[in-house]
Amino acid sequence: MKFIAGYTGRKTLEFINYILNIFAFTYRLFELFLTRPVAGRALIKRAVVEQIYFTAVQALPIIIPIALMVGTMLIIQFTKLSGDFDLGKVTVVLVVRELGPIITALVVILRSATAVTIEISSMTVFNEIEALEMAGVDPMRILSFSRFVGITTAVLCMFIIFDIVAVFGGYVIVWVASDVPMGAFLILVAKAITGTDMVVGLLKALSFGVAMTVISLYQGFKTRKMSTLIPVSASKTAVQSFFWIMVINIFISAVFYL
Amino acid sequence: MALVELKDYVLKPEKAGKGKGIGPLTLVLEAGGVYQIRTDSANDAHLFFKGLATLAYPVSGSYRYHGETLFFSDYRRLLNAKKTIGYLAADTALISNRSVRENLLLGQAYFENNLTAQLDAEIFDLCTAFGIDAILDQRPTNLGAPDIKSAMMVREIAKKPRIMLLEYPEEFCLSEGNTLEVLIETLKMKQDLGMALVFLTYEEDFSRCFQAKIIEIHEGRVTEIRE
Repeated sequence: MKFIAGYTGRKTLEFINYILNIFAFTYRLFELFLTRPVAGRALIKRAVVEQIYFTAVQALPIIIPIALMVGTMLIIQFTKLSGDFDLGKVTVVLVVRELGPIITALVVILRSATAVTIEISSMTVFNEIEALEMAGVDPMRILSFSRFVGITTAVLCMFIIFDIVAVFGGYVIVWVASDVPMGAFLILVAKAITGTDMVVGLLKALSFGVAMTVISLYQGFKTRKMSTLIPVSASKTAVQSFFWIMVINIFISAVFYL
Repeated sequence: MALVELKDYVLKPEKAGKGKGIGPLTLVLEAGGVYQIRTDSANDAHLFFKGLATLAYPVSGSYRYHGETLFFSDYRRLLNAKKTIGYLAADTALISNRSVRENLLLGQAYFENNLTAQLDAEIFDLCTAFGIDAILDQRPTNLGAPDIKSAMMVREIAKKPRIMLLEYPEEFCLSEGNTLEVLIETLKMKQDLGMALVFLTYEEDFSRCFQAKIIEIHEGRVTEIRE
């Protein structure tokens, strides 16, 4: 009994400590937005552009086919239900509110969040963070802040691209490649989408971007100085990011639609 | 003038079994002074160097650097001191995804917000002296250990540090262009300009070239400082 109580207590404290650390890390990143120090701006700007390029531009050949496949698949299924449901509404609910942000986030976690953790972990393990500090450079600013801004912006852009490609691209593919009766599909979608849907989609993309960046950076900096722990950190980033994104997704959906 | 003033300074080893730790230690290092470490434990000496470089945080005690007390509660408050401390030890590193040139210009790019800055003549001369002028646009991952160590050395000297911490300098002089003689000559020039020097070496040629005060670290305690 003592053993179980001790184990539960330790795990609870570890979890609370983890949550507090994540929030403290997030606070430090947002603090940099407000203080806007002058030193390092040129380096940060370059790193933000590089990060957007790596996360969004280089991911386009992945996100576009996925969006097309998801859009096509859903539209084919929706048209079979056209008598039972409002097609436009179902498309908006599934693509814009739920699948768009989730799939975008999943692609970014697999491609970029894990890569950021591996990069920061390697820098931690091989003393490069200390090398930055010894040059008087604040690693939180040139490494964390730039990736935070870059990845969050990239997720937001990719979410918009995903939605547009999934709805319009999916429609075009089904229209060109099949005889499935489409009716006025695009008009139904246009009628169904509301301002709240767009705000929720963008809010989710933004929150997912923040969550996965914070987790990936935190895991990177937290890696102890052993190279064998780098893949462990990357794995933790992938799992924790996906878990917390699902939690945030449910939370935002509940707040806006319940 | 006192450059480093440590009072009741205690450092714990990073891991169990890695030395005894340092302190409690009270020590003053003068600007322009030269100090040689003699120790029975390389781990303790390394910890001492890390402590001086503010990379290892003390358990207790105070650290005054250049007349100002350093606060270890927030790493950001140490950055100003760190950038004037040259640190060449086993755990010194270059930023691997930046070229050697970018590594050398990192501070300038950061503090002056200038990404197009060029190496000034003095730093370029150092690069030539240490034989890294031909590899400036290479990334460290493409270089061998001797070139990387030479680049680290140039970077730390180019910082114009107030104090240079050298742990086994002979291990940083491995390439053809970068010899111990070049290093000694450069350090002597910098010392004349007021740079303090703390070193630990097995290389007698190196220690003979400097009239150093001896700091003995024995069983984690600084037991003696003598001429």
